[in-house]
Amino acid sequence: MKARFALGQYTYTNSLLHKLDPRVKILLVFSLVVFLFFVRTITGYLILFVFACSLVVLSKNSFSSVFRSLRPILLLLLFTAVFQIFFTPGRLIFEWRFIKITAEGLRLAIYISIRLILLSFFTFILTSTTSGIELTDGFEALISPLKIFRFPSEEVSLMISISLRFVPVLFEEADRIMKAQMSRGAEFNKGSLVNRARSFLPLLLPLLLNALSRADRLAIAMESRGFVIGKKRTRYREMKLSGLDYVAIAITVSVFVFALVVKEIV
Amino acid sequence: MIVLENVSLTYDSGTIFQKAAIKNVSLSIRKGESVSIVGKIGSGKSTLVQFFNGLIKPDSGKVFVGGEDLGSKETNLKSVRRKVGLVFQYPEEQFFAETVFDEVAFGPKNMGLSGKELKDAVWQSLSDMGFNPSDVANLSPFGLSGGEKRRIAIASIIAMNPEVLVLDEPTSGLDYTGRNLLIEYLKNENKKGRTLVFVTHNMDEALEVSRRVIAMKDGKKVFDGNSEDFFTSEELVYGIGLDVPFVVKVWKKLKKRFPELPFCRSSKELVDFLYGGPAR
Ligand SMILES: Nc1ncnc2c1ncn2[C@@H]1O[C@H](COP(=O)(O)OP(=O)(O)OP(=O)(O)O)[C@@H](O)[C@H]1O
Ligand SMILES: [Mg+2]
Repeated sequence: MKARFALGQYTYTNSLLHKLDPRVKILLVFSLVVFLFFVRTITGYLILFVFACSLVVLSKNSFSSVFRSLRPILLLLLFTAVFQIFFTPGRLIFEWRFIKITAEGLRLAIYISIRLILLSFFTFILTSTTSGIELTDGFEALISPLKIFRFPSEEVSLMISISLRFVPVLFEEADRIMKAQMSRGAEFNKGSLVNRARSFLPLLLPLLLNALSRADRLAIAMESRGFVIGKKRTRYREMKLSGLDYVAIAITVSVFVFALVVKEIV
Repeated sequence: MIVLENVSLTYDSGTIFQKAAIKNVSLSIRKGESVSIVGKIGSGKSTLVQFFNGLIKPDSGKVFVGGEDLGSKETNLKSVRRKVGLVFQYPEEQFFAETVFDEVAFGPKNMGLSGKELKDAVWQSLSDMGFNPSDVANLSPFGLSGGEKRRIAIASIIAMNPEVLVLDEPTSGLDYTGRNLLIEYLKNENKKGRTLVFVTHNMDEALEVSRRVIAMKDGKKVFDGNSEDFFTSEELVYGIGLDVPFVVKVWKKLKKRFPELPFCRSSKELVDFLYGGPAR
């Protein structure tokens, strides 16, 4: 089992994209992802693809790491593409026994694949240039207007940041407990389904118990350092929009509008 | 008994967390030996001992246990783990059973013991660890004190009756008497012929338990030999970032006044010699 995994592959290189305000980045990527589905032309997607690639270059990421981040969605991609190709009704362009491919199906499959790939490109760029803390700070700021509906935005974002922080810890711990139980002769992949499920008890139980006691210690540590739920907290990093952010917004919006209105040229 | 040949391992290679934990280490541990492994935090001690029972496989190099190549498909890892009992760092964090008996019985049960054999193994290991078995067997392991938990965890490995006992920092977090009990037990087991590998941060313990010491630094083996030679050489010990055992410091001072003083491996030996020994 992989003991650690990189959440969002955040790597610190000191690029322009790292300097952007996290709120701006989150908002831009979010709207890009939503409006991605309104682009109707291949040309439009090509423009967005070139835009995404230049962002990757700007963020000083290597393309190999981008493609590595695509790996988990590959199966999903393949599945939806195949599904669209074979099961969309329309003008037949290929037929062999029960296999029927329609022009509409092919078109849809291509669109969906491009959308998914672009989607993961953009989220990769966001998560690789924004640290976990920045992400949750940005997220908190963005959902804070919900406070007027008594939505506990601070608590929710604190919960998210704590969870993010402890996911890798949990993985490491699972790895260690598994090894320790294997040292006592435990086997995790042998026997019937029932036996297998039961063999996970020596892994899951300690994992849960340790997580609970860790949560307990964390709560005590936070309280002893003056944390009170709902009380106003100041921050170490104040978020402020700079000229760079306005430039980023302007560029993104214009590229996007262009991609939306451009006529098909291929 | 255990042989490592040019073993190397890198964790998470290819990611930003990449870390070369073990670099080209070769070593051989003979039957009946007692070896202490020392080194600073993060020097690769825990990683090293996990090769011994096949929990991790090297990126390059070979591991043999009792002549069997652990990299080969035919090797039964379960029987290797029975031969080489590994007590993890903070083993009490892996408790899951309702009673002490079930906790200790987990290992031997997995090894196929049952009925009277199983009960005997559990009873024996509990009393080896200084418990009165019938007092604790039905308690919850979670309700015990830290030191007691540690001893239960060690008992659960001993109950498998391994030929080689490997312990990763078993004394950390123990109180003075718990520590002494354990050290005495380990020395005694080794005297009775059990092979012992003892990972520790405490240099006094390393010296007391083993005649042979292996020192790790940044994943490399930097010393392997007689523990007396090692710990009396300040250059070696400080060079690795470790400390000279307290006993050795005192012994060196005393040696200047009493040239006939033989080398002492523990404060107890030192005191015995000064007060009961032939010369004063
Ligand atoms: N499961 C793992 N995944 C990734 N890196 C690891 C893992 N286990 C250990 N490491 C890294 O490998 C290096 C060696 O760790 P190891 O635990 O072997 O050291 P150690 O000498 O036992 O330290 P300590 O005295 O703290 O127990 C460390 O830098 C550690 O961060
Ligand atoms: Mg260790």
